[in-house]
Amino acid sequence: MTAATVVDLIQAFDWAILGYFVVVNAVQATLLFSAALELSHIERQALGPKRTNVGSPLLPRITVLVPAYNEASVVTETVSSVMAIDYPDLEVVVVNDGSSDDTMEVLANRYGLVDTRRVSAGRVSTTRIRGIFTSRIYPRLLVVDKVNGGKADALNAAATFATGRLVCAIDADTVIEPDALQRLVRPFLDDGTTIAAGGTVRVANGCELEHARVVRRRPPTNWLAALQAVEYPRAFLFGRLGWNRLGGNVIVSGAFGLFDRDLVLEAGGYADDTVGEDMELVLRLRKVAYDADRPHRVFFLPDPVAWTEAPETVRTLARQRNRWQRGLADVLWRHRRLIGRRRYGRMGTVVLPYYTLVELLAPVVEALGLAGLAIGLAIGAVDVQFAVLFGLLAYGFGLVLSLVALSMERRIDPEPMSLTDTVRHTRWVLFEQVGYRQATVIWRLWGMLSLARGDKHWGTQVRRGFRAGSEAHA
Amino acid sequence: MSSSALHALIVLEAVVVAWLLLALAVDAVRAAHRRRRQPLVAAARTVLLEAVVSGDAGTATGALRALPNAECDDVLCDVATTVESGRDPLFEEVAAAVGTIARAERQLSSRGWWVRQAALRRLTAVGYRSPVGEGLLHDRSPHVRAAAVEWVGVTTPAEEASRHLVDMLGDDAEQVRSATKTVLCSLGTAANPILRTILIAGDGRDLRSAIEVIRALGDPTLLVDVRPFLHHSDEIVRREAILTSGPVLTESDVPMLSRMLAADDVELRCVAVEAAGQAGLRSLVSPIAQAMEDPDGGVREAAIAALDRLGPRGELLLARASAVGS
Repeated sequence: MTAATVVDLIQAFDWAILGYFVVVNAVQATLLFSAALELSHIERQALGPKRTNVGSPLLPRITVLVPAYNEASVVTETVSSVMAIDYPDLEVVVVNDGSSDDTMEVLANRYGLVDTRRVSAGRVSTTRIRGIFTSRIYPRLLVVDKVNGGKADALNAAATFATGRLVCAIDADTVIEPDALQRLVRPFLDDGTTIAAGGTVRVANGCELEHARVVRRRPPTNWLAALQAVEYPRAFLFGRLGWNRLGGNVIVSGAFGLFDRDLVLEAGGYADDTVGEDMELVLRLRKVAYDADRPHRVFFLPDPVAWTEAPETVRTLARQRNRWQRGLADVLWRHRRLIGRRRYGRMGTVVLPYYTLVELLAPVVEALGLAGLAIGLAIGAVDVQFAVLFGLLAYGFGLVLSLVALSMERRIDPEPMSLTDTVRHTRWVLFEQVGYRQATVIWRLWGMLSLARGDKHWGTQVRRGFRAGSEAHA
Repeated sequence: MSSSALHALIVLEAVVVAWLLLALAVDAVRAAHRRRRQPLVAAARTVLLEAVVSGDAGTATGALRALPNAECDDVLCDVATTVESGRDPLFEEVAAAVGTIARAERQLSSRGWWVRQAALRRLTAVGYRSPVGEGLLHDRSPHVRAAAVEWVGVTTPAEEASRHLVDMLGDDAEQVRSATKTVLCSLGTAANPILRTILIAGDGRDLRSAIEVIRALGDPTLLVDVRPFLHHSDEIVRREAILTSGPVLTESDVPMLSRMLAADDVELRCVAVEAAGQAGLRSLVSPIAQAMEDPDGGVREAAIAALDRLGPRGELLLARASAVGS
């Protein structure tokens, strides 16, 4: 192979990467446009004072599913915050998933639990149920004590004994705004084909909380959390809003989602052998609906908000992104037979190919692209000026997407940040594309390698917990 | 792609980025300005709440007039919605005095559906019955029609409201039907005449919706009127009727229910089990218990729930099922 051939190959490779970049960003721009239209439409619907359907006998019961494993120190806080959610027909099912600490004792003492009998219809199998308890104090609280089986298994047990038409799974460390469920139920009321609805998950780091409610939104002081706070709107808000209009939502965040209980059980419940269980469940629900020729939709609402704690150490963030990528790859592999199939409508022909070629392969292509660029520059196959200009173009496009996403987030925020906080928050957009993004590429690659080695563990996240206004803001 | 093209694109991006940053800054400044007015808004809100108790519309009007029109409307309608859903005449009086009603009525003929919808919502909040409002029940936008339904429910006397809403139960848009059902439920027995009218003359969507409302209201006199639809040609109407007439089923319906419990259609079996549970007839206990062995999980669940309602015999069967670990 001659030097000229090598140069040609490198150039061809770089052009291919460039082509991929153009296609991906064209898709992102389409999603952005779609998201803008969708947000405008949703905002218009929300104009004017709203009468709620509180007290209407037609309002469906919602069961909140709370899996708990070794959470003696926080479980009552979690349960109390869930029961404080403002929704007229709310049921709470807590599952003690074989905790080795005194989670069960804490629940029994705090809520006056008494034995009750409930028979399972056996729609989804779970590990052995040791006992079922109701509360003397809160009639709508049910506690299920079972042998340890993992989070998905616990959610399935909770869903089995739920009596609500809709079920809401939340993470124990997620704070939900009190009226979030009243807003999240609207897609189900407005359109009977809705099978799942998700809300926005935002970074709570730095925010001021009172009684588990965010009362003032402020940017995180931790630099890593601040980078994630500018990443989340682009990664989640505008992507999911965009897919709303295109009928292609396939993810409802595990931290905050509302599902048709009957369909969840019919589909077999949450999968307990994947870390991407939120996307996996929605794909399976949609598949069941498509197979039954049942009109359906998965809806994303930007205004009901759940607040979650973003990782503040590199190690924890790396594990999280590793897990997300593993989850994505695993789920796409499991459902590979749906990809490209017209039988599965837009999900099969557009959405899943997008997730495969863009979300899944992007870190691979980016890494190869950077490597190819470096080699090309080294051997003179790539024009330096062109590379610099193109790098600036890519950086600028990323900035545009991020700033538009931040603007969207601001539009739906009832209490936008002050000018000073806005400047502090927005400045991180400039740095997100330089260093942070490349680090996430490495972590995501690591995730795919981990999956290839058979790693399906959740890992642990070090959490500092929400602190009411205690972070210092200079 | 040539260097000049890249240069041009980069310049364009820089302009867009600068414009976005400026827009964010301007929005932040506006938000700061709104926050500075917060004490005034809060004070107006407090005065308005006090006026609800004292009946002093004049003071409330004065406090609201100090605010810009948009904020005045927001505060008034927000308080009205929270406190009394517009049924206190004080809100209408204040709304007329500060111009909220006049502004909203002008906007009812706006070209933008969101403007008409927001205007209707404000009129709903303050409980004002505009002569133009009823026409919006037939607006081309489903969002406006749904808002009009809610407005009728709040501002119109119950019997008259139910007459206006008779056509809305069969509307093409589900959100309109949903709003109509909610309003009819809130009217209680005042909705009975119109529901009976639909049972007599309705068909398709409006009939299904009417039966659903009857089930939600649970009025025994209406439940009996649903019985003839147990044999309706429309499958969905039939299922709704079975589910709704559960509490008023008699021994004469047992053979029909037993046939349904053995039907091939899963949804029909499910509905039949639920209805059998509501009927509470001893002769149905065994068929319901058999449904606990149904291959479909939804039917089994319905059977468990039905047995739970059937008293000692049902509890015994459930206890046995518990003991064998089902």
